[in-house]
Amino acid sequence: MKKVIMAIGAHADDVELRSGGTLAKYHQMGYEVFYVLATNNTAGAHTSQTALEHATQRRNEALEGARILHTEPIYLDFKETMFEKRGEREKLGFQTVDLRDYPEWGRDKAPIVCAQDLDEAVEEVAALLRRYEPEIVLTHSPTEKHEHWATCVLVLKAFGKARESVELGTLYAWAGSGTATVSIAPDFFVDITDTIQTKYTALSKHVSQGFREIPDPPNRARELYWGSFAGVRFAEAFMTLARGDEL
Amino acid sequence: MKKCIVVFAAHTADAELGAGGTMAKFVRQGYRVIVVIVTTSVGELVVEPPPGGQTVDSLTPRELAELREQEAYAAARIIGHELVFLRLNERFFTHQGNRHYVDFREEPPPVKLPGTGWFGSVSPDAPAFAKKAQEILLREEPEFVLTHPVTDACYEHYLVANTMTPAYRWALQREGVSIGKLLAWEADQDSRTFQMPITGIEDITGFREIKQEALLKHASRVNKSKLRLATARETHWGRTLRGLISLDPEQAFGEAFTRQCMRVGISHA
Repeated sequence: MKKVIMAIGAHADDVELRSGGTLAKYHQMGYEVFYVLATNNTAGAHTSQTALEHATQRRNEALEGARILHTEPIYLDFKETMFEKRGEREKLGFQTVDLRDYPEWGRDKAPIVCAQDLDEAVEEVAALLRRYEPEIVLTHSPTEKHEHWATCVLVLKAFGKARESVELGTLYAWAGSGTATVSIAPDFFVDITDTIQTKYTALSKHVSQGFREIPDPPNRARELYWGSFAGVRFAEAFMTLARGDEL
Repeated sequence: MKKCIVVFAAHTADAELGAGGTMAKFVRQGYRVIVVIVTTSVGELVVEPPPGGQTVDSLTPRELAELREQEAYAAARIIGHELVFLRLNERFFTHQGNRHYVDFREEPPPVKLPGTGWFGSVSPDAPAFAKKAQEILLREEPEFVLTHPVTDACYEHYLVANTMTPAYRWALQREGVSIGKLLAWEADQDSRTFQMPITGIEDITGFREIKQEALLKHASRVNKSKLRLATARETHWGRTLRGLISLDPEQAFGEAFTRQCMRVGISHA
């Protein structure tokens, strides 16, 4: 196990939103930070961009956001379940997909909602965990919707596989997504009072996501809320999903 | 509210694995139990031969779907519940040892599938399932609705659970309709992301044998590992019901449930 923290999010900005302050904090504490993006980010457009334009923009935004957190993204590029084309939501597999508009990255990868059932996809994430042997792994909560849920299950399976051969620390799910179906009970809080500005700077790089203001009120409320649990001003909260030593 | 339980399960055998003892118990208490099976159940890779020695992998998806429906009927005869098949196709099916993904792909599936549509997050049939679930809830006005937990690690289980929550909430808000609790059974230890807080345990002592007999009818789906996991859960919850040191010589068995969709901005007794 190494002094490494790895955050794995479904989309560009998920990592910053839920764990940006924590990553900055652990960097201050001497940890190496890894920022992993599971999907190819064709969805989520608020503009009339093509899938390719949008995915390109989000990829660049992730790069800028990650740099603020002293790292660079690792792109896994699993396919999203849909992509946006000129404001219309198109669903992969049910309508004719204009591949001229589709990014090169992810064309040959599995859809994220199928990845957790594919050995090669699980192995890809497990290989990352084996390579960097993180003490802390952060990802989505399994109570979130679709791509977020699928990313969580993929990471959970990969964590189980990787810990058979290397020493890993703890896998945590981050709390407080607006897409959660049920609440989770966090058991790990990180005081981000002195790194919250870094988090906001990283978030501000995700221009395509149309945050009206940063800090945006719902996130600010969550940071204050979890801070009250931890007895600090601002906190990010996590729930233990799996431990490296429970084989 | 009627003396009725409606169970929404993604695949054949799911309902029996999660709540078979409870279903058997309530049937014998005079309840009408209706199990709605959402998919064609052709996705799972089970290679143990069913009775007669035929391996599942040698069957076409249509044959496999038919076999699984026959198994479901055989199990239903033992427990005493009714069956409704929605027959939506899953993301993938297994044919001649290969797993074929049919959802999210552009190419047509290489083998004709038995179902009536796709069931997935991008599928137009996910809303269709929600509508069907709403119709059933309004028609039956069940005292209990049982389904998968939202923390299940199987995608189709997760989708059924997540579709049921808004469908149930919608049905609750209809005027003049009375529907009871929405409960999620406990997922297998190897098929869950984390354990939901358990809010109720049903004592199935005396009904577990019926459940076991029904499960054995699902020969192409329920293998020894699934039976072992089910037994571990039943024993654990039975012990929880009776206490670690029990004066009762009879070993107890239980099934655990989590209440979902509790009073979220709705008026519901």
